[in-house]
Amino acid sequence: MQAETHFELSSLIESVNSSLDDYDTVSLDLFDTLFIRRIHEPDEIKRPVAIFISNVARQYGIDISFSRTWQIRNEIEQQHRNRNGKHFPDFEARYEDFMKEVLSDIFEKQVPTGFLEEVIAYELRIETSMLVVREEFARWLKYLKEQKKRVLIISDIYHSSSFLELLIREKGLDPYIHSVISSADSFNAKASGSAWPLVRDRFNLDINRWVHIGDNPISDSAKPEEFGIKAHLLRDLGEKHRKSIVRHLHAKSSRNELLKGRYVQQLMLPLEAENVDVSPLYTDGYNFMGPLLGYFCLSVLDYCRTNKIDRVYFCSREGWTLLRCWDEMMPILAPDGNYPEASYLYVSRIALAKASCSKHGLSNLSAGVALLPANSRDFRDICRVFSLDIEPILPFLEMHDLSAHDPIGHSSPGVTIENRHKFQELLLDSGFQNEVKRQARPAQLKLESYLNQEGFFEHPDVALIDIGWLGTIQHYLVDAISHRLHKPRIHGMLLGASKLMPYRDNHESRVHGVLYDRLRFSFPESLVTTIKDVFEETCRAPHPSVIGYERKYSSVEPIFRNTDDEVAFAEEEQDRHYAPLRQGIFDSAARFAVAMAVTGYRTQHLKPWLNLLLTARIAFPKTAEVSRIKHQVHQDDFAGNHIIPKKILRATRNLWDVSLRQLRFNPFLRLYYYLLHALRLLRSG
Amino acid sequence: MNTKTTNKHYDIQGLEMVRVIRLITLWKILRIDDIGGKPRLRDLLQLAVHHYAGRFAAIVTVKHEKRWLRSLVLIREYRARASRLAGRVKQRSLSLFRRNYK
Repeated sequence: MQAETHFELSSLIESVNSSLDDYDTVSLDLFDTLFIRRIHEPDEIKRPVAIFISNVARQYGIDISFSRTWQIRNEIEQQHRNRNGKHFPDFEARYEDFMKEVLSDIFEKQVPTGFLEEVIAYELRIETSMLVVREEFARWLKYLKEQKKRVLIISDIYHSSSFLELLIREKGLDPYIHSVISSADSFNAKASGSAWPLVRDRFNLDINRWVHIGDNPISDSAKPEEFGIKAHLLRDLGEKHRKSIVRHLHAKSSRNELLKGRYVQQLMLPLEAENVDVSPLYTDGYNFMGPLLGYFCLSVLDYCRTNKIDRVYFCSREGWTLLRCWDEMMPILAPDGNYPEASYLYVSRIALAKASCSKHGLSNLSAGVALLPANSRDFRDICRVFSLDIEPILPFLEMHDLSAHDPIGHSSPGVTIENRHKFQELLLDSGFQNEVKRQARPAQLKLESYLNQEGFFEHPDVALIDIGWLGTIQHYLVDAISHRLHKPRIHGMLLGASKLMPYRDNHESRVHGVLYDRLRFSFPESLVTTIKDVFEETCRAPHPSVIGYERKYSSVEPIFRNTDDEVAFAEEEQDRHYAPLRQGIFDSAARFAVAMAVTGYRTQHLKPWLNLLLTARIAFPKTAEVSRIKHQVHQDDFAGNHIIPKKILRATRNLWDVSLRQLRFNPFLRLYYYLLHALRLLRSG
Repeated sequence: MNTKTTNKHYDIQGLEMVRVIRLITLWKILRIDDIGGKPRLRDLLQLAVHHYAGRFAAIVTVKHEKRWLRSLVLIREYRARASRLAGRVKQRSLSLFRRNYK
């Protein structure tokens, strides 16, 4: 009798189904048959576990590298195999046994309580993330259950059957499987053939009514056939193809830095039942935004570890998406718990602007930021941004011969040098500044109470996470708490830092651009600024903007913007449009973390690939991509109601602002704007 | 229209190898910036072949495994035979040389 070989899963299932009445029992191999691995080499799973063990060992004062940990594991596993090989036909080992010895060896017999269980749980988590159930098999198992067939899982592996059962339960297949048999339990494997009689006796099986399916020509084909069990060998061409790509990428990425990022993205890709038809926006979220935000979170983690920061605040509203990605990623990237505590901070520029004036009044810099949007130009805009009551201020304006309607912004249309001078004099007027401080004081007190309530002042260093771009929230926050003696050093971590305003950059407050920082002068990174609004809209939280704080009994709570006006409805509509994109980002976060853990790459390894990703998707996008990703509305809380002059619109126009028709039919448009962007970057210095 | 996140060639939807190669080629021509990582077109082309022709390679290596294994064995045999023949020719020429020029 010779095993039937199948090159497609469907043909295998069809063949078994055609003679299913002849069998009572169907046994399946687990790995590379019922489950496929995202990685080409199962040993790669050992890397994150070795990193985890060595990190914990370091916390206990044992200096050991992860490669040495990995080596010890391999050596002890081999010793166990050799020892068991003397008493059993197969050279098998049991994970729990050798891992216990590995830990005992590393920790010199003083293994922390419960650490072995933690290691097993972490390996299970990584293994589960790397395994994918074959979609057709999953459907077939349900059918077999309906047909009242007994389904057994037989695997030659060092994990015990209880570990494999957990894996199967995680994948939701446990209702269809009768029992799981592992070679680690009895040290009798399929490879030598000694497992088959044991299984027969244990379940009292008739070998003539038993069919086995697997991928190994010896263990799953020759040996069961020798024993008299009908075997079907699966040699899936699609799987061989996929694995050859992963293997090739793995080999090439060791020499080619660009391919490291590609390798990570390849490992992240959804397979089998995960890879269903989805909205193209979901794909954009998964394949474009997801890796960028994952890289951001990973960089924040590295920075916090280096600078010993134990508290991270994600600023509303864009921080909401970043925090969700962070929560998905951290248990995988830092299973030892060595990552800062993260929380969400309800802040906004509008909510902090007024409070920032309480000590020093209205500074020239703060006023300049308020007048930065092209549709803000006069003193009414300043009052709107800083929530100031204009009536008590009007006498000071009259005193300096200014009206509330006079253009005073640095580049506002119609602004005169006289008006600028008058405005500068107004800022130097102590009476005016005292009035501003008087109005700002209550807002500052509420903000301070809110920050106190959030534990902001309890740490020497805190990281403030936001999407970008100027770092105004941090600037206002530092101003608002500048009178305090005990305040934390604030490390601003922005996705993109345009650093256009000369904000303070000292030991008290620093701003770092993670994906883009103008001071790094990187051309591909700077492309992020082309679609700033898209990033903001994508990451925006599903709650309205914060406009201030109010006391409610003993606590201070944020006040949100109205939700019944046109802007709120437009935001809601935009949220609905971006929902699949956000889902793609959230789904990719955990897979990105697992891929990074398995490859052992650091953030710097991803940079070349992310540069390519940014250029391909921002500077050379397909027309369809622009049409679906481009936001429909964007509400800038600082923006005024004035009409923006065409000259300014033309000067700031970029590829994503041109019409779809032009994008579709003008072949040189992308190149033109790419070169124009380079020119603008060089001019801006 | 809905799509799959991983396309049928196991390529990344939205950043397919063709797009990557086109962009790297453009970079190599323009040379206005360095993305880092020293991108090599040869590696990318090899990867593209794996993605788009890998299925055929899998058919050859898996489906016709016996056939190409047999070919390999034959090639080894021919090489061994050829080297034996070369050895004999060398021996013969050496003996001729010694006989004529001693």
